[in-house]
Amino acid sequence: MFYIRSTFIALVVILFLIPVTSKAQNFTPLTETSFKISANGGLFTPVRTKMADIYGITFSAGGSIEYRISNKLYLGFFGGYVKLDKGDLYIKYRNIYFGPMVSYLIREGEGLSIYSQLGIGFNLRRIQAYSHEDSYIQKDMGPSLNLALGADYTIVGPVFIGGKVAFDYIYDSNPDQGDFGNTGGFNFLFNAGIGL
Amino acid sequence: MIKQNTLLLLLLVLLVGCSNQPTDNGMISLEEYDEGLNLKVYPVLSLQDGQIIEFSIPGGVSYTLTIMNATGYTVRIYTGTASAGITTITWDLTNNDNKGIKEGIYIYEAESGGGVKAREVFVIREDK
Repeated sequence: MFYIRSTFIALVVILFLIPVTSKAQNFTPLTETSFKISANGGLFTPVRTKMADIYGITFSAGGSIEYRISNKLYLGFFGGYVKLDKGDLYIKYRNIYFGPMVSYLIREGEGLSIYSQLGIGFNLRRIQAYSHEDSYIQKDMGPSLNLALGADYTIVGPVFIGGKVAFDYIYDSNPDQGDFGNTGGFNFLFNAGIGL
Repeated sequence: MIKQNTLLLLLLVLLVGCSNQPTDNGMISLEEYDEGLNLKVYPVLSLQDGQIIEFSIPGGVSYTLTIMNATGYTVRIYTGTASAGITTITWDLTNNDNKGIKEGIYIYEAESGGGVKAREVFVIREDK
């Protein structure tokens, strides 16, 4: 609850900052930069209802570095971390993912850019269950498809803030044979970064 | 001045947004866990082949026991009507296709009369 409340407050402050800062500052359009480095943080919610029941909706963070190869396209590398730990059960889910990505600029204007992203990730997943004096760790790994839609707003020089919604789908073929199985989830992320 | 304030606010937002939900790593007792529900699932910390899962619900009430893997994928479902007292189900560590499952973390969820109870379980096979 604390985390969701904090994230909501952060969203309100960011939405307030956009009109205030856009009037006061000169910004450098991202069209004039070659690299785009960003970090993000927010919420992750699994698509599978039972998985959401078990782990809840919790923490997600990540980042990316991209290089502009044309007016509309960036190539880059992304990575992130998802932590699920609802607390009703003594079980924790962790996922570290990384991989190559491509971004397509849908719109680029006065400080505002809207983009879509496609990434292929490699996922290192770890679940730990513990009860009383026992603890058990299960690990798994698999590829994922990562899709995202987001918007950035340049506020100060080359610095931008924004948000994106990302869908991750991790492929894992044998869920009842010791593997974690296919899992999907949505990331709702605040984004901040710089163009270089 | 405006720049400084903006950067400070941005830093504050990132710090607040990235702050973590406080977690309780302490153990809860079974009594706390079961409070307010008429359905009781006994903790099973590790299962050997053919061990049992027990729960108590009022007699004559239908129940569903769902065993899931650690990401919520259903591995095995048992349904029935409870007799009075403790209902006992023996899970033979197979899935719905009667294939043996592998060692790992599983979760069982018992549902009856609007009450739902879930617990985690480790499956540790003797032959490993």
